[in-house]
Amino acid sequence: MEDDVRMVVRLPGVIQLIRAMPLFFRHRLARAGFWVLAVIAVLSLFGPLWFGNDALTPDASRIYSPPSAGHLLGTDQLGRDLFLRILEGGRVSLLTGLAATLLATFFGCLYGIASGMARGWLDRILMGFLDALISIPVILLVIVSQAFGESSLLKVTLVIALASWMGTARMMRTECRTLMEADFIKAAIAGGASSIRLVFRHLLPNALAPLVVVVTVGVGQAILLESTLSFLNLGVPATVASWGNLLGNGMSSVLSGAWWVVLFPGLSIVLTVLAINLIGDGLRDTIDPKHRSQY
Amino acid sequence: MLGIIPQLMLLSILAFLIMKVAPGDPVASLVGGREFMTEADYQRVSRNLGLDRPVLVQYGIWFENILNGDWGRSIADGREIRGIVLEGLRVTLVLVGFSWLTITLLAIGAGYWAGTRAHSWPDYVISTLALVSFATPAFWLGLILILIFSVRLEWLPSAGQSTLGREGGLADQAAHLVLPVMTIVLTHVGPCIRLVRGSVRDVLSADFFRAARARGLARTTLILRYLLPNALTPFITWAGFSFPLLVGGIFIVEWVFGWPGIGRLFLQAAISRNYPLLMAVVLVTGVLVIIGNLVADLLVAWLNPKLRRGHGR
Amino acid sequence: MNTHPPLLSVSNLKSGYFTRHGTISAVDGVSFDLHRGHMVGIVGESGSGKSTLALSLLGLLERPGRVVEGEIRFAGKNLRALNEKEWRAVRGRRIGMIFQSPESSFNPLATLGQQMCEALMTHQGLSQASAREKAERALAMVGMPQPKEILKSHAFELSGGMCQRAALGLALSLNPALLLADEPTASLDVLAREEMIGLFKEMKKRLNLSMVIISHDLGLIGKLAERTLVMYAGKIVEAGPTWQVLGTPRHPYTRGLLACQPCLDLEPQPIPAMTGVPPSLGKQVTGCRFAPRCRWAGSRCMSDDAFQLRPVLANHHVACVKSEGRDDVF
Repeated sequence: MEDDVRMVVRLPGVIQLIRAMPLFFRHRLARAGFWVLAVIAVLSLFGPLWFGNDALTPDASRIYSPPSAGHLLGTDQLGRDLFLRILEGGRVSLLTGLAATLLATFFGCLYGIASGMARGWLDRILMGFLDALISIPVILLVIVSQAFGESSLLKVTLVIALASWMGTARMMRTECRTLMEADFIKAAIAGGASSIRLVFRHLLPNALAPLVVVVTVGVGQAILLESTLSFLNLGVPATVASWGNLLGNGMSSVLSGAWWVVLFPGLSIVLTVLAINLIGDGLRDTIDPKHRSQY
Repeated sequence: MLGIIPQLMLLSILAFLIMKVAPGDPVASLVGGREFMTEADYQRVSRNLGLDRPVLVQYGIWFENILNGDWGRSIADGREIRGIVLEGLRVTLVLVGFSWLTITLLAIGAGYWAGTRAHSWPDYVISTLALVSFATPAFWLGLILILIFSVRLEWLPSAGQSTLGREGGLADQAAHLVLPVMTIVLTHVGPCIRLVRGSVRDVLSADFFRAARARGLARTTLILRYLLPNALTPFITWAGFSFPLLVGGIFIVEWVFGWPGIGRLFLQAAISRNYPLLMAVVLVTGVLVIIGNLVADLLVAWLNPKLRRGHGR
Repeated sequence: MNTHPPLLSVSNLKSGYFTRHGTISAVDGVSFDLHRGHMVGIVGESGSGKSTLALSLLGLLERPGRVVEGEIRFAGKNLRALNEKEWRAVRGRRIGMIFQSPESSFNPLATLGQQMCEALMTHQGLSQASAREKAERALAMVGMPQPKEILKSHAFELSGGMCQRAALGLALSLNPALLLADEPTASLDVLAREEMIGLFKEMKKRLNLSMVIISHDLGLIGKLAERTLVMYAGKIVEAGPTWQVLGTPRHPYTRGLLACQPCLDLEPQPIPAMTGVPPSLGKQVTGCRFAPRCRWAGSRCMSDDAFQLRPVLANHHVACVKSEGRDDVF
């Protein structure tokens, strides 16, 4: 084929996102991901209210009963209905993941923009610190900080956020650098635009599209991290249900043969993160024409 | 390559900070509580440990001790930390080595296979599995594999490095390796396959590859000299970049399978708040990751003449 | 004129791209002959199907692209009947090809020497040492200074012109009977382009080289090719001796191309003498495919056979209804 000389024009983020929406919904896998996530989210947020608390009170008479018509997914080690526990846990896992990612995005943006707008030594120090931080396994930092003091939902959220802002920071710096080279930004600077105006009027709207992709994938990773921490009893307090906590004494359940207690909470994690990743893929494909595949 | 110096500095500072920020009194913790020692003893021990000097000096002393091989003693049992950690590292490296090897072979094999058959049904199957792999928590997959292969089928052992009393049997050790390695591989290979698949497709549609085909070269030449070297460069870069993730995953898997490596040491130390051990493991793991990154960088530079001859970078 | 059978004879060749979103016939019934020691030039805008044609000739069209119909007869053999293994014995050895972008003709991770030796060893069964020697001679032949040094370097270490020379050297070292050149000068600067044209002329004389040159560069074609084919929307719209086609063009499209020659080095561009863009090859249109852009288009251009080649002079064919009978209707 002849070489394709197509102009790739970057539109401002908001317009880019709106224009990508119909394309996004034509992306089969992304559409599937969206609906799966929507169902899980709605069930988790409103399910427990709907079904009441009866099946969630511990009941010694039905400990570890396998899936049946009465308890669709069986019951756990305290005789609670597993399906409702999963819905309850979903609320905590989804909200923790979302909150942690939003916090991480906020901090990552600040850091990245600071590094991108500052030239010279400050930028070098900030990036050097980031590079060094990236070389340490995230899980180490998270576990060390969780090992100090009592656990709480707020603390877990903060710790997960602190462990996941680095990617956003790096992306925002690159975005910042690319944009500062653009003619319209040079014109804005020549016209006396202040740094704050540059950031809010130009940089953030332009970086919105890639940011949305990073945030989407980040939520999935945060959910995975939260479940791992909770599994190690280093996550959300044991009294709060989360998908990781449901798996907390998974080992003893496995050894006693109660497979459903391990299988179903884990499947909810896999399904949710998969759906989120599909949405992320779809967004990337539709926003960035270079990635457009033929799915 | 000079980048590793600030990395090592930051790493050592972080490890040192664990000790400093840790709640509790390090002197008192030596004997189990402040009430068990007199004020004079307390002052003396503090001075001996150098705790009365400025933080920067303390850091210097600590760092020097580490370099001299004096890593302190474990709070839990008073054993030399250096011995514990190095033994754990050895055991972990077995897991790292086998996992990394399997991931590489699988990523290249499956990525090549899917990449050369883009948009056929085997490609869709491989790509879907890769997506699922990326979304699966390692600890959960480990539990499921134990459930299937150890509890139900009773084919493979679920814990430890070897069966008690049968240490040294090669088949026994291999059987103990299967499930942990499988867990790590299945949860980390997804992005690698996707990456190799993508770069195989990029090379297949590259001008230079078409030019090579126009020269009528043999299939094996095309694959071994053109396709693979070019498709693997991004994979190696990524392998180095994601090495911390792999190590993190291995830590969790060690916990699930009772594998006596530094990952399990680390988690035990974290849960029992054994800070000297904790900082030693953080330090060793960090160094391991930095070395891993370095190896990947060198490998890419060796493969890529542009970097080798100092044009890039 | 030439009583020998042609070296290359293409008849009614059709190639297309078959995707889920539809079929694109990029080459739609192209026929031409090429005799030993001759050069034929194929010109047209981007998207006219000329690169697809070149790839089809060497069996390099990849999915979703495919040759659908027609015959490619080369030195008496029908190339379309070859399997992949037989193709490999033709590619490089019998038919060489050089591409537009010189740096991307070579593997970025290997030296030019490695790649030249590899090709020589594959096709001529040479040892490493004699392959190296032959590669050196080939580079010297295409006028490379210090061929030994060049063999040790990578494509990214050479200029575009040097790379293109090396690519030509590699192709010629295998003694092909035919050379396909796809936009051989498009990415070169003016000086390197002139040198390349000189080199092609010299090689033609020295090696009795036959060439198919595909280009939008009418200057290049004019200096090298005996015959010129003008392609538009997958079809040949004008074919004849180069001096006639470029000197007294009959098809309005050829006229348009000539009129905007100075800007043709940057394709595609808004063309002063010709408005509009080439039609999307996916759509089937009746009548002349150039009519929508043609300032002389009339009702007759919509007839079914309007886009067929018809003779205007001996050896000169034009696919335009208004060229029939009269010499100049425009």
